[in-house]
Amino acid sequence: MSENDDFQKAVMLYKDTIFRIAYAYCRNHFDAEDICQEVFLKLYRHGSRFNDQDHEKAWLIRVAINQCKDFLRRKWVISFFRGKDCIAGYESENQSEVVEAVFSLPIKYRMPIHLYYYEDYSIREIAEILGTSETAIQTQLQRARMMLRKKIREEFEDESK
Amino acid sequence: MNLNSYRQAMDKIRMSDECTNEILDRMMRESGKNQVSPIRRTVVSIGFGVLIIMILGFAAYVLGGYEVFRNYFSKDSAVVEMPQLFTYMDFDQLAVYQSTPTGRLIDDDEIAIDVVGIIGNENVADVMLDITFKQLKDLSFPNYQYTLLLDGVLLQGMSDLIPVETENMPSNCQRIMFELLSTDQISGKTLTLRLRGLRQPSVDTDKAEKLFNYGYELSIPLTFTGKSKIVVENQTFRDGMLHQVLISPLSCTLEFDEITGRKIMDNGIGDLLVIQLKNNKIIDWRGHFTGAIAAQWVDRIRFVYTFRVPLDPADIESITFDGIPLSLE
Repeated sequence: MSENDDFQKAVMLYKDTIFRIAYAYCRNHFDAEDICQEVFLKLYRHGSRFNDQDHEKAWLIRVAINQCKDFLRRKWVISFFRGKDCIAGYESENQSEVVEAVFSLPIKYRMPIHLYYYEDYSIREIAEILGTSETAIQTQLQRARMMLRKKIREEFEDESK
Repeated sequence: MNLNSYRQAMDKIRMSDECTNEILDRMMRESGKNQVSPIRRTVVSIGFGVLIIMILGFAAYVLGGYEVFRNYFSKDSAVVEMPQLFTYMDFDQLAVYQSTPTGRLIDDDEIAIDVVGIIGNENVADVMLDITFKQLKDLSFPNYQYTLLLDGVLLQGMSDLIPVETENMPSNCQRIMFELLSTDQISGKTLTLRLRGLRQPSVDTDKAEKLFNYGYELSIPLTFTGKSKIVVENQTFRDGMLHQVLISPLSCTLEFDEITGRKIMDNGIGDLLVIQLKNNKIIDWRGHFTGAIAAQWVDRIRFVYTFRVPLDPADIESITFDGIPLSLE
Protein backbone atom coordinates (compact mmCIF):
# COMPACT_ATOMS: atom_id res chain seq x y z
CA MET A 1 0.00 0.00 0.00
CA SER A 2 1.43 3.45 -0.93
CA GLU A 3 1.97 6.36 1.46
CA ASN A 4 -0.91 8.17 -0.20
CA ASP A 5 -3.21 5.21 0.41
CA ASP A 6 -2.12 5.09 4.04
CA PHE A 7 -2.79 8.79 4.35
CA GLN A 8 -6.26 8.55 2.81
CA LYS A 9 -7.09 5.70 5.14
CA ALA A 10 -5.95 7.75 8.13
CA VAL A 11 -8.03 10.75 7.01
CA MET A 12 -11.17 8.64 6.72
CA LEU A 13 -10.48 6.93 10.04
CA TYR A 14 -9.70 9.98 12.18
CA LYS A 15 -11.29 12.95 10.44
CA ASP A 16 -14.30 13.12 12.75
CA THR A 17 -12.21 12.54 15.87
CA ILE A 18 -9.90 15.41 14.97
CA PHE A 19 -12.76 17.61 13.84
CA ARG A 20 -14.53 17.13 17.19
CA ILE A 21 -11.36 18.02 19.08
CA ALA A 22 -10.91 21.18 17.00
CA TYR A 23 -14.60 22.05 17.25
CA ALA A 24 -14.60 21.57 21.00
CA TYR A 25 -11.59 23.84 21.18
CA CYS A 26 -12.51 26.75 18.92
CA ARG A 27 -16.29 26.22 18.95
CA ASN A 28 -17.08 27.00 15.34
CA HIS A 29 -16.91 24.69 12.36
CA PHE A 30 -15.14 27.05 9.95
CA ASP A 31 -12.12 27.38 12.18
CA ALA A 32 -12.29 23.70 13.12
CA GLU A 33 -12.07 22.72 9.45
CA ASP A 34 -9.08 25.01 8.89
CA ILE A 35 -7.37 23.45 11.87
CA CYS A 36 -8.13 19.93 10.63
CA GLN A 37 -6.56 20.68 7.27
CA GLU A 38 -3.34 21.78 8.95
CA VAL A 39 -3.35 18.72 11.21
CA PHE A 40 -3.70 16.26 8.35
CA LEU A 41 -1.14 18.13 6.27
CA LYS A 42 1.27 17.64 9.17
CA LEU A 43 0.38 13.96 9.22
CA TYR A 44 1.17 13.73 5.53
CA ARG A 45 4.51 15.45 6.00
CA HIS A 46 5.26 13.36 9.07
CA GLY A 47 4.72 10.13 7.16
CA SER A 48 3.50 6.81 8.50
CA ARG A 49 6.07 6.34 11.24
CA PHE A 50 3.79 5.01 13.94
CA ASN A 51 3.94 1.88 16.04
CA ASP A 52 0.24 1.18 15.69
CA GLN A 53 -3.14 2.87 15.24
CA ASP A 54 -3.34 3.96 18.88
CA HIS A 55 0.01 5.70 18.52
CA GLU A 56 -1.13 7.42 15.35
CA LYS A 57 -4.41 8.55 16.88
CA ALA A 58 -2.73 9.91 20.01
CA TRP A 59 -0.19 11.77 17.84
CA LEU A 60 -2.98 13.29 15.77
CA ILE A 61 -4.89 14.41 18.85
CA ARG A 62 -1.77 15.97 20.33
CA VAL A 63 -1.02 17.78 17.08
CA ALA A 64 -4.65 18.92 16.82
CA ILE A 65 -4.59 20.36 20.34
CA ASN A 66 -1.33 22.17 19.65
CA GLN A 67 -2.75 23.47 16.38
CA CYS A 68 -5.81 24.75 18.25
CA LYS A 69 -3.60 26.53 20.78
CA ASP A 70 -1.61 28.07 17.97
CA PHE A 71 -4.79 29.16 16.27
CA LEU A 72 -6.08 30.92 19.34
CA ARG A 73 -2.82 32.69 20.02
CA ARG A 74 -1.98 33.62 16.45
CA LYS A 75 -2.60 37.20 15.74
CA TRP A 76 -2.08 37.72 12.15
CA VAL A 77 -1.00 40.70 10.14
CA ILE A 78 -2.02 43.73 12.05
CA SER A 79 -0.93 46.95 10.47
CA PHE A 80 -1.44 50.54 11.45
CA PHE A 81 -3.65 50.91 8.42
CA ARG A 82 -6.12 48.13 8.95
CA GLY A 83 -6.82 45.39 11.42
CA LYS A 84 -8.03 41.87 10.92
CA ASP A 85 -9.58 39.50 13.41
CA CYS A 86 -8.93 35.90 12.50
CA ILE A 87 -10.98 34.32 15.26
CA ALA A 88 -14.58 33.70 14.29
CA GLY A 89 -17.43 33.67 16.76
CA TYR A 90 -18.74 30.99 19.02
CA GLU A 91 -21.52 28.88 17.49
CA SER A 92 -24.08 28.20 20.16
CA GLU A 93 -27.17 27.50 18.10
CA ASN A 94 -28.44 23.98 17.62
CA GLN A 95 -26.18 22.57 20.33
CA SER A 96 -27.49 20.11 22.85
CA GLU A 97 -27.54 21.24 26.44
CA VAL A 98 -24.73 18.94 27.39
CA VAL A 99 -22.46 20.04 24.55
CA GLU A 100 -23.28 23.65 25.31
CA ALA A 101 -22.33 23.14 28.94
CA VAL A 102 -19.03 21.41 28.12
CA PHE A 103 -18.15 24.00 25.48
CA SER A 104 -18.71 26.79 27.99
CA LEU A 105 -15.97 25.40 30.23
CA PRO A 106 -12.53 27.02 30.11
CA ILE A 107 -10.30 25.20 27.61
CA LYS A 108 -8.16 23.85 30.42
CA TYR A 109 -11.14 21.77 31.58
CA ARG A 110 -12.90 21.23 28.26
CA MET A 111 -10.26 19.04 26.66
CA PRO A 112 -9.81 16.55 29.55
CA ILE A 113 -13.61 16.18 29.70
CA HIS A 114 -13.83 15.51 25.97
CA LEU A 115 -10.94 13.03 25.92
CA TYR A 116 -12.25 11.23 29.00
CA TYR A 117 -15.95 11.07 28.22
CA TYR A 118 -15.92 10.89 24.45
CA GLU A 119 -12.63 9.35 23.40
CA ASP A 120 -12.54 6.99 26.39
CA TYR A 121 -8.95 7.74 27.25
CA SER A 122 -7.75 6.96 30.76
CA ILE A 123 -6.41 9.68 33.03
CA ARG A 124 -2.88 8.43 32.41
CA GLU A 125 -3.38 8.56 28.62
CA ILE A 126 -4.89 12.05 28.77
CA ALA A 127 -1.93 13.21 30.85
CA GLU A 128 0.43 11.88 28.18
CA ILE A 129 -1.50 13.49 25.32
CA LEU A 130 -1.76 16.87 27.03
CA GLY A 131 1.78 16.71 28.36
CA THR A 132 0.88 17.12 32.01
CA SER A 133 0.64 15.04 35.19
CA GLU A 134 -2.08 12.54 36.09
CA THR A 135 -2.75 14.55 39.25
CA ALA A 136 -3.35 17.68 37.21
CA ILE A 137 -5.81 15.83 34.95
CA GLN A 138 -7.64 14.37 37.95
CA THR A 139 -7.94 17.83 39.45
CA GLN A 140 -9.13 19.32 36.16
CA LEU A 141 -11.74 16.60 35.72
CA GLN A 142 -13.02 17.11 39.26
CA ARG A 143 -13.29 20.85 38.82
CA ALA A 144 -14.88 20.48 35.40
CA ARG A 145 -17.51 18.12 36.80
CA MET A 146 -18.22 20.59 39.58
CA MET A 147 -18.71 23.40 37.07
CA LEU A 148 -20.91 21.20 34.89
CA ARG A 149 -23.07 20.22 37.84
CA LYS A 150 -23.65 23.85 38.66
CA LYS A 151 -24.50 24.60 35.05
CA ILE A 152 -27.03 21.88 34.37
CA ARG A 153 -27.91 20.70 37.88
CA GLU A 154 -27.34 17.07 37.05
CA GLU A 155 -24.71 14.59 37.96
CA PHE A 156 -21.92 14.21 35.47
CA GLU A 157 -20.92 10.59 35.48
CA ASP A 158 -17.78 9.98 37.47
CA GLU A 159 -16.22 6.76 36.24
CA SER A 160 -12.93 5.32 37.36
CA LYS A 161 -10.83 3.77 34.64
CA MET B 1 -25.95 14.59 32.20
CA ASN B 2 -23.90 11.48 31.68
CA LEU B 3 -21.44 9.85 29.39
CA ASN B 4 -24.06 8.68 26.91
CA SER B 5 -25.75 12.04 26.47
CA TYR B 6 -22.42 13.73 25.76
CA ARG B 7 -21.39 10.93 23.41
CA GLN B 8 -24.68 11.02 21.51
CA ALA B 9 -24.49 14.76 21.11
CA MET B 10 -20.89 14.73 19.95
CA ASP B 11 -21.52 11.86 17.51
CA LYS B 12 -23.54 14.29 15.42
CA ILE B 13 -20.59 16.63 15.03
CA ARG B 14 -18.70 15.52 11.92
CA MET B 15 -16.33 16.89 9.36
CA SER B 16 -18.03 18.00 6.14
CA ASP B 17 -17.38 16.20 2.86
CA GLU B 18 -16.06 19.45 1.42
CA CYS B 19 -13.40 19.67 4.10
CA THR B 20 -12.47 15.99 3.66
CA ASN B 21 -12.08 16.49 -0.07
CA GLU B 22 -10.00 19.63 0.48
CA ILE B 23 -7.63 17.68 2.75
CA LEU B 24 -7.22 14.95 0.14
CA ASP B 25 -6.72 17.54 -2.60
CA ARG B 26 -4.02 19.25 -0.55
CA MET B 27 -2.33 15.91 -0.05
CA MET B 28 -2.31 15.35 -3.80
CA ARG B 29 -0.85 18.82 -4.40
CA GLU B 30 1.74 18.19 -1.71
CA SER B 31 2.70 14.81 -3.14
CA GLY B 32 3.22 16.41 -6.53
CA LYS B 33 5.90 18.76 -5.24
CA ASN B 34 7.70 16.38 -2.87
CA GLN B 35 9.26 13.72 -5.03
CA VAL B 36 12.26 12.69 -2.95
CA SER B 37 14.13 9.52 -3.85
CA PRO B 38 14.34 6.80 -1.16
CA ILE B 39 18.16 6.98 -1.20
CA ARG B 40 18.23 10.74 -0.67
CA ARG B 41 15.62 10.46 2.05
CA THR B 42 17.77 7.94 3.92
CA VAL B 43 20.85 10.12 3.66
CA VAL B 44 18.91 13.15 4.81
CA SER B 45 17.44 11.19 7.73
CA ILE B 46 20.87 10.13 8.92
CA GLY B 47 22.04 13.74 8.67
CA PHE B 48 19.05 14.91 10.67
CA GLY B 49 19.75 12.25 13.28
CA VAL B 50 23.32 13.47 13.77
CA LEU B 51 22.12 17.08 14.03
CA ILE B 52 19.43 16.17 16.56
CA ILE B 53 22.11 14.57 18.73
CA MET B 54 24.13 17.79 18.44
CA ILE B 55 21.11 19.83 19.47
CA LEU B 56 20.52 17.60 22.49
CA GLY B 57 24.14 18.19 23.40
CA PHE B 58 23.54 21.92 23.29
CA ALA B 59 20.43 21.53 25.44
CA ALA B 60 22.51 19.94 28.17
CA TYR B 61 24.76 22.97 28.17
CA VAL B 62 24.00 25.27 31.08
CA LEU B 63 22.72 28.58 29.74
CA GLY B 64 22.32 31.99 31.28
CA GLY B 65 19.20 34.12 31.86
CA TYR B 66 17.78 33.15 28.49
CA GLU B 67 17.35 29.54 29.61
CA VAL B 68 13.68 30.23 30.24
CA PHE B 69 13.35 31.05 26.54
CA ARG B 70 15.28 27.98 25.52
CA ASN B 71 12.71 25.93 27.43
CA TYR B 72 9.87 27.89 25.92
CA PHE B 73 11.05 27.59 22.31
CA SER B 74 12.12 23.96 22.58
CA LYS B 75 8.62 23.02 23.73
CA ASP B 76 6.98 24.80 20.83
CA SER B 77 4.52 22.44 19.19
CA ALA B 78 6.21 22.74 15.80
CA VAL B 79 9.49 21.63 17.33
CA VAL B 80 8.01 18.84 19.41
CA GLU B 81 5.98 17.41 16.58
CA MET B 82 8.65 17.53 13.89
CA PRO B 83 12.07 17.77 15.51
CA GLN B 84 13.68 16.46 12.33
CA LEU B 85 12.69 19.69 10.59
CA PHE B 86 14.08 22.00 13.26
CA THR B 87 17.75 21.25 13.09
CA TYR B 88 18.83 24.86 12.92
CA MET B 89 18.07 25.97 16.44
CA ASP B 90 21.10 27.21 18.29
CA PHE B 91 19.91 28.61 21.60
CA ASP B 92 23.38 29.81 22.59
CA GLN B 93 23.04 32.62 20.06
CA LEU B 94 20.29 34.11 22.25
CA ALA B 95 22.86 35.07 24.90
CA VAL B 96 23.62 38.39 23.22
CA TYR B 97 19.91 39.13 22.73
CA GLN B 98 19.01 38.98 26.43
CA SER B 99 18.47 42.01 28.58
CA THR B 100 18.64 42.74 32.31
CA PRO B 101 17.36 43.00 34.93
CA THR B 102 15.48 39.93 35.97
CA GLY B 103 13.98 39.55 39.36
CA ARG B 104 11.05 40.57 41.52
CA LEU B 105 9.65 43.96 40.65
CA ILE B 106 6.34 43.88 42.52
CA ASP B 107 5.82 42.33 45.94
CA ASP B 108 2.87 43.30 48.14
CA ASP B 109 0.15 41.52 50.10
CA GLU B 110 -1.77 40.51 47.01
CA ILE B 111 0.65 39.94 44.22
CA ALA B 112 4.26 39.24 43.30
CA ILE B 113 5.63 39.80 39.82
CA ASP B 114 8.99 38.41 38.79
CA VAL B 115 10.65 39.19 35.48
CA VAL B 116 12.22 35.85 34.65
CA GLY B 117 13.65 36.65 31.24
CA ILE B 118 13.87 39.25 28.48
CA ILE B 119 15.17 38.82 24.94
CA GLY B 120 14.91 41.03 21.91
CA ASN B 121 16.59 43.17 19.30
CA GLU B 122 15.94 46.50 17.59
CA ASN B 123 12.30 45.82 16.77
CA VAL B 124 11.03 42.96 18.91
CA ALA B 125 11.10 42.02 22.58
CA ASP B 126 9.83 39.03 24.55
CA VAL B 127 9.33 39.63 28.27
CA MET B 128 8.59 36.62 30.46
CA LEU B 129 6.87 37.21 33.81
CA ASP B 130 5.79 35.01 36.71
CA ILE B 131 2.72 36.45 38.42
CA THR B 132 1.82 35.04 41.84
CA PHE B 133 -1.60 35.74 43.29
CA LYS B 134 -0.79 35.36 46.96
CA GLN B 135 -4.33 35.22 48.30
CA LEU B 136 -5.53 32.56 45.86
CA LYS B 137 -5.05 28.82 46.02
CA ASP B 138 -5.69 28.21 42.37
CA LEU B 139 -5.95 30.12 39.13
CA SER B 140 -8.15 29.53 36.11
CA PHE B 141 -7.41 31.70 33.10
CA PRO B 142 -7.05 35.20 34.49
CA ASN B 143 -8.00 37.82 31.98
CA TYR B 144 -5.28 40.46 31.88
CA GLN B 145 -5.85 43.99 30.77
CA TYR B 146 -2.62 45.72 30.01
CA THR B 147 -1.03 48.75 28.44
CA LEU B 148 2.52 48.95 27.13
CA LEU B 149 4.55 52.13 26.84
CA LEU B 150 8.05 52.72 25.54
CA ASP B 151 9.82 55.67 27.16
CA GLY B 152 6.42 56.83 28.37
CA VAL B 153 4.80 56.75 24.92
CA LEU B 154 2.10 54.24 24.03
CA LEU B 155 3.64 51.34 22.08
CA GLN B 156 3.47 52.09 18.36
CA GLY B 157 3.24 48.53 17.18
CA MET B 158 1.59 45.35 18.24
CA SER B 159 1.79 43.18 21.31
CA ASP B 160 0.48 39.90 22.53
CA LEU B 161 0.14 38.19 25.87
CA ILE B 162 0.90 34.49 25.71
CA PRO B 163 0.22 32.19 28.68
CA VAL B 164 3.22 29.87 29.03
CA GLU B 165 2.65 26.33 30.22
CA THR B 166 5.23 25.35 32.79
CA GLU B 167 5.69 22.41 35.09
CA ASN B 168 6.27 22.67 38.82
CA MET B 169 4.74 26.11 39.13
CA PRO B 170 2.66 26.82 42.26
CA SER B 171 -1.06 26.59 41.48
CA ASN B 172 -1.55 30.28 42.27
CA CYS B 173 1.23 31.39 39.94
CA GLN B 174 1.11 31.89 36.20
CA ARG B 175 3.88 32.47 33.70
CA ILE B 176 3.01 34.81 30.86
CA MET B 177 5.02 36.29 28.03
CA PHE B 178 4.55 39.67 26.45
CA GLU B 179 5.66 39.80 22.85
CA LEU B 180 6.22 43.28 21.42
CA LEU B 181 6.76 44.25 17.80
CA SER B 182 7.49 47.76 16.69
CA THR B 183 8.72 49.31 13.51
CA ASP B 184 10.51 51.83 15.71
CA GLN B 185 13.60 51.12 17.75
CA ILE B 186 12.84 49.16 20.94
CA SER B 187 16.31 48.51 22.29
CA GLY B 188 17.62 51.19 24.63
CA LYS B 189 14.15 52.21 25.74
CA THR B 190 12.30 51.56 28.98
CA LEU B 191 9.22 49.41 28.77
CA THR B 192 6.40 50.36 31.12
CA LEU B 193 3.88 47.63 31.66
CA ARG B 194 0.58 48.59 33.27
CA LEU B 195 -1.61 45.74 34.49
CA ARG B 196 -5.10 46.46 35.70
CA GLY B 197 -8.54 44.93 36.15
CA LEU B 198 -7.29 41.38 36.55
CA ARG B 199 -10.18 38.95 36.33
CA GLN B 200 -10.73 35.24 36.10
CA PRO B 201 -13.76 33.07 35.27
CA SER B 202 -15.91 32.38 38.28
CA VAL B 203 -16.71 28.78 39.21
CA ASP B 204 -20.11 29.79 40.52
CA THR B 205 -21.38 32.06 37.79
CA ASP B 206 -20.76 32.69 34.14
CA LYS B 207 -19.31 36.08 34.95
CA ALA B 208 -15.68 36.86 35.55
CA GLU B 209 -14.67 37.77 39.07
CA LYS B 210 -12.36 40.66 39.72
CA LEU B 211 -9.13 39.63 41.40
CA PHE B 212 -7.86 43.04 42.43
CA ASN B 213 -9.23 46.53 42.55
CA TYR B 214 -6.20 48.44 41.48
CA GLY B 215 -3.43 48.18 38.94
CA TYR B 216 0.28 47.62 38.87
CA GLU B 217 3.02 49.28 36.91
CA LEU B 218 6.41 47.80 36.06
CA SER B 219 9.37 49.53 34.46
CA ILE B 220 11.73 47.27 32.53
CA PRO B 221 14.81 48.60 30.72
CA LEU B 222 15.31 46.95 27.33
CA THR B 223 19.00 46.97 26.56
CA PHE B 224 19.81 44.41 23.93
CA THR B 225 23.38 44.26 22.72
CA GLY B 226 22.61 41.83 19.89
CA LYS B 227 21.84 43.53 16.60
CA SER B 228 20.25 42.35 13.40
CA LYS B 229 22.49 41.74 10.43
CA ILE B 230 21.89 43.48 7.11
CA VAL B 231 21.49 40.78 4.48
CA VAL B 232 20.06 42.90 1.65
CA GLU B 233 20.89 46.53 0.92
CA ASN B 234 19.51 48.87 -1.76
CA GLN B 235 18.04 46.36 -4.16
CA THR B 236 15.47 47.18 -6.83
CA PHE B 237 12.13 45.59 -6.13
CA ARG B 238 9.63 45.72 -9.02
CA ASP B 239 9.43 49.45 -9.84
CA GLY B 240 10.73 50.54 -6.46
CA MET B 241 13.47 50.00 -3.95
CA LEU B 242 14.02 47.54 -1.13
CA HIS B 243 16.38 49.58 1.03
CA GLN B 244 17.37 46.84 3.41
CA VAL B 245 16.54 43.51 4.99
CA LEU B 246 17.71 42.86 8.53
CA ILE B 247 17.83 39.43 10.11
CA SER B 248 18.36 38.31 13.69
CA PRO B 249 17.52 34.97 15.31
CA LEU B 250 14.25 36.54 16.44
CA SER B 251 12.95 38.54 13.51
CA CYS B 252 13.23 39.78 9.95
CA THR B 253 12.73 43.46 9.09
CA LEU B 254 12.26 44.73 5.52
CA GLU B 255 12.39 48.39 4.58
CA PHE B 256 10.84 49.56 1.30
CA ASP B 257 10.37 52.94 -0.29
CA GLU B 258 6.97 54.37 0.62
CA ILE B 259 5.18 53.80 -2.69
CA THR B 260 6.32 50.21 -3.04
CA GLY B 261 5.60 49.54 0.62
CA ARG B 262 2.07 50.88 0.37
CA LYS B 263 1.34 48.78 -2.72
CA ILE B 264 2.49 45.68 -0.87
CA MET B 265 0.50 46.53 2.23
CA ASP B 266 -2.69 46.97 0.26
CA ASN B 267 -2.70 43.24 -0.42
CA GLY B 268 -1.68 42.18 3.08
CA ILE B 269 1.79 41.20 4.22
CA GLY B 270 1.13 37.99 6.11
CA ASP B 271 2.21 35.31 3.65
CA LEU B 272 4.78 37.20 1.56
CA LEU B 273 8.03 36.31 3.33
CA VAL B 274 9.51 32.87 2.62
CA ILE B 275 12.92 31.86 3.95
CA GLN B 276 14.66 28.71 2.79
CA LEU B 277 17.30 27.23 5.05
CA LYS B 278 20.36 25.27 4.00
CA ASN B 279 18.71 22.10 5.29
CA ASN B 280 15.91 22.68 2.73
CA LYS B 281 13.47 23.65 5.47
CA ILE B 282 11.08 26.36 4.39
CA ILE B 283 10.19 29.00 6.94
CA ASP B 284 6.94 30.56 5.82
CA TRP B 285 3.90 32.07 7.42
CA ARG B 286 2.22 28.75 8.11
CA GLY B 287 3.03 28.32 11.77
CA HIS B 288 6.48 29.84 11.70
CA PHE B 289 5.78 33.52 12.22
CA THR B 290 3.95 34.74 15.28
CA GLY B 291 3.32 38.25 14.11
CA ALA B 292 3.90 40.78 11.41
CA ILE B 293 3.59 44.51 11.41
CA ALA B 294 3.84 47.27 8.88
CA ALA B 295 4.22 50.98 9.46
CA GLN B 296 5.37 54.12 7.80
CA TRP B 297 8.80 55.36 8.84
CA VAL B 298 9.78 58.75 7.44
CA ASP B 299 9.67 58.12 3.66
CA ARG B 300 9.96 54.39 4.00
CA ILE B 301 7.71 51.50 4.95
CA ARG B 302 8.94 48.83 7.31
CA PHE B 303 7.65 45.31 7.72
CA VAL B 304 8.68 43.33 10.78
CA TYR B 305 8.14 39.58 11.12
CA THR B 306 8.92 37.61 14.26
CA PHE B 307 10.05 34.02 14.09
CA ARG B 308 8.21 31.54 16.20
CA VAL B 309 11.40 29.75 17.19
CA PRO B 310 14.91 31.27 16.92
CA LEU B 311 16.55 31.01 13.55
CA ASP B 312 20.28 31.03 12.92
CA PRO B 313 20.92 33.63 10.18
CA ALA B 314 23.95 31.60 9.06
CA ASP B 315 21.58 28.80 8.08
CA ILE B 316 19.66 30.91 5.56
CA GLU B 317 19.99 29.74 1.98
CA SER B 318 17.61 32.19 0.32
CA ILE B 319 14.86 34.73 1.00
CA THR B 320 11.86 35.34 -1.21
CA PHE B 321 9.43 38.21 -0.73
CA ASP B 322 6.14 38.32 -2.58
CA GLY B 323 7.48 35.70 -4.99
CA ILE B 324 10.67 37.66 -5.80
CA PRO B 325 14.01 36.10 -4.76
CA LEU B 326 16.27 38.58 -2.96
CA SER B 327 20.02 38.70 -3.54
CA LEU B 328 21.70 38.11 -0.20
CA GLU B 329 24.93 39.93 0.63
